[in-house]
Amino acid sequence: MQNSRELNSFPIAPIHKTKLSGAGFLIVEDLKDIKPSELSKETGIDLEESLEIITLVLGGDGDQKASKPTVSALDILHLENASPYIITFSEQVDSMLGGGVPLRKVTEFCGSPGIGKTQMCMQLAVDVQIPEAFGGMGGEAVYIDTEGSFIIERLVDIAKATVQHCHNIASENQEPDMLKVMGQFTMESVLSRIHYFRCHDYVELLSNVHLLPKFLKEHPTVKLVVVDSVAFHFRHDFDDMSLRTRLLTSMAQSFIQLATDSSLAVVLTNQMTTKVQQGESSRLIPALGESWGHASTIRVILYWEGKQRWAWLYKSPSQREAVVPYQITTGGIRDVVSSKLESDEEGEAPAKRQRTS
Amino acid sequence: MSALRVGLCSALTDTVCDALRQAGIRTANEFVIKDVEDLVQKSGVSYKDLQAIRRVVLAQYSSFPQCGLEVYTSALTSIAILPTGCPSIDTLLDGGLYTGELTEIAGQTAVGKTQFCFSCCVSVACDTKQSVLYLDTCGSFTAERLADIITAQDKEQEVDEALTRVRYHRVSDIFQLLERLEEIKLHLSKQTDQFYSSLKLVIVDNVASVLYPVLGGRHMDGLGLMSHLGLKLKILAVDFSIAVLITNNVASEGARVSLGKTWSHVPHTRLFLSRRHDVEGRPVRDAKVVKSNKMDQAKTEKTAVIRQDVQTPDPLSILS
Repeated sequence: MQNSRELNSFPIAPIHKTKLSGAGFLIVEDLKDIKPSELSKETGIDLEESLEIITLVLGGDGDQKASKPTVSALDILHLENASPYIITFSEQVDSMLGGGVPLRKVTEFCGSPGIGKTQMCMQLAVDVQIPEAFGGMGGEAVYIDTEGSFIIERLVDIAKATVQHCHNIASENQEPDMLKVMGQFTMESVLSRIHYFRCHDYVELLSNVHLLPKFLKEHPTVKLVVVDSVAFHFRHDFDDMSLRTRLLTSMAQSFIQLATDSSLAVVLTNQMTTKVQQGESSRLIPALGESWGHASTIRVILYWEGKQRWAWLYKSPSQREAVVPYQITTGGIRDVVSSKLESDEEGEAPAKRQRTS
Repeated sequence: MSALRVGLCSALTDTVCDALRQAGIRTANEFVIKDVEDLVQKSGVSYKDLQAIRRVVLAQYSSFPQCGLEVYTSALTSIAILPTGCPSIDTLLDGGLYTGELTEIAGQTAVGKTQFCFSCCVSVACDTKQSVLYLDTCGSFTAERLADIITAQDKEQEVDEALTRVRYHRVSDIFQLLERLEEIKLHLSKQTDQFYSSLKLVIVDNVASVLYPVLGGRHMDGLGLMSHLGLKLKILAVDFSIAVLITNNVASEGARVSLGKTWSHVPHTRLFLSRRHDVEGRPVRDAKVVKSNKMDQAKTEKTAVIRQDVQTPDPLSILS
């Protein structure tokens, strides 16, 4: 079978592409049975790089097909049905998302300051660790903090409440499995299984994202990667907007790759910006522009209405658009309860946190 | 066009090849555009030999003329119109997605582009029983949703069968996408796999997210890659008689389809989706054909109002 794929569709440096086409090497077939030394002589590309080009063009052919077989939608359906969700501890938010924050997808939470984006991230970072005996996934979390808004005291609160909640379930049900794992599931263990990265500028953020695959290989139980927030460093000091778009879209691709390859959930937070419309009143929209909107698979917008916090599922490939209320208590994200009877799920009495801004 | 090699024809011997190379002629392309008499002087190869080589090269690389009637009859037998799963869009597109054509859907975030792709997927796999290949660049493919759409049409027992007719590839950059397209072409010409012989629809969702990272900046060949991708998609659609469906973003406040003028020549048909709220405050979607090569102007102005609803059988059902 003649392989007539053009060489310029390969990731080869433009300067080498020019040399190759100048010497008459245009399709894959032209490079067959050619030694690196011959190629080097004919094109003027040095020997080492000639070898690299030949391995890239010819070597990849057989191997990649074997490692990347075609998948049917049915296989994906089975995979999806088998994969668990990370719960948020607010039943309404969970059911809006179809069960919680899904693995293998990128979920974005947008909202104005103080609405609870960071709280949501912390809650998820704790919830991903709920042991399997309780229906959780016993994973670890990577927390990338760009804003410096990671408050460890809050995390301790949330972790304590979650451990307490599991403890209550265990002592209620008296199941030996649950009681056994409770010994290891403590506030200290929860904190030790959150890997915290602090990124001071966008270069640090980008390099961190690039290094994550290696880190994840060393820590295979990581099931959640949080970036809080993705917008912060990209909203100032950018004169070249096309550079910003390019960096953001390639970062988005890395996140999606991360989510699918390591089958984990990626959770991003984003800020809001004001969009001024002619003739209409201005309104708040998620920051980073239109092209970033496609980066996340699921987008949830958090907003205030009066004194109530609402979560609005704006974009999702599988769930319908919906709006649900939620609240933030000492213990973390919770449902809004109308009567006290329903609140027995929580370890502490719900105390609504005051709006900070 | 390929390099001039020894053995292409009897006149092209080692010495002739070397002589031509000395004269700066390496590819068939360079050979054909040069004047023969000029070449005789430069390379010292005889005029007769050069003419013979020229004839062979031209014959090897030229395409054959086809009679219009033949094209018409083959079109009649090979063109299929695939339903999109949404009747009002079908009417807007003059029946649905045509094989041999590249259809593009553009629109803002969360306007329903991916849902439209899912809908086409289901109706092709479920109703026409043909294969669909889904190339996903933004990780938004959800088989559960496909199953939901099929179940909502009361065809629950067909879910497994229909989903095996849909194949999925996750693509993370432009080079992977090009590689996939090449692979599809290879499989199509081999005709050994049952899946590929009934392949009628290829979906790329979304082209912009693989093209944005290579456009502008230091990537000098970004535009080249973009037109290369356009060319490959068109070859796949036209030469293999497959319907190709791609999605695209919008730029600047949702008024313009992104990727610019160059890309706007690639799709045969372009459908623009936008969202607004109807009088009762419910979100509805408008679909509009902004480019088409087979409808008159009056028809392209028409808009279909559609609604996205998970509970109704169609993901995009008619509202008015």
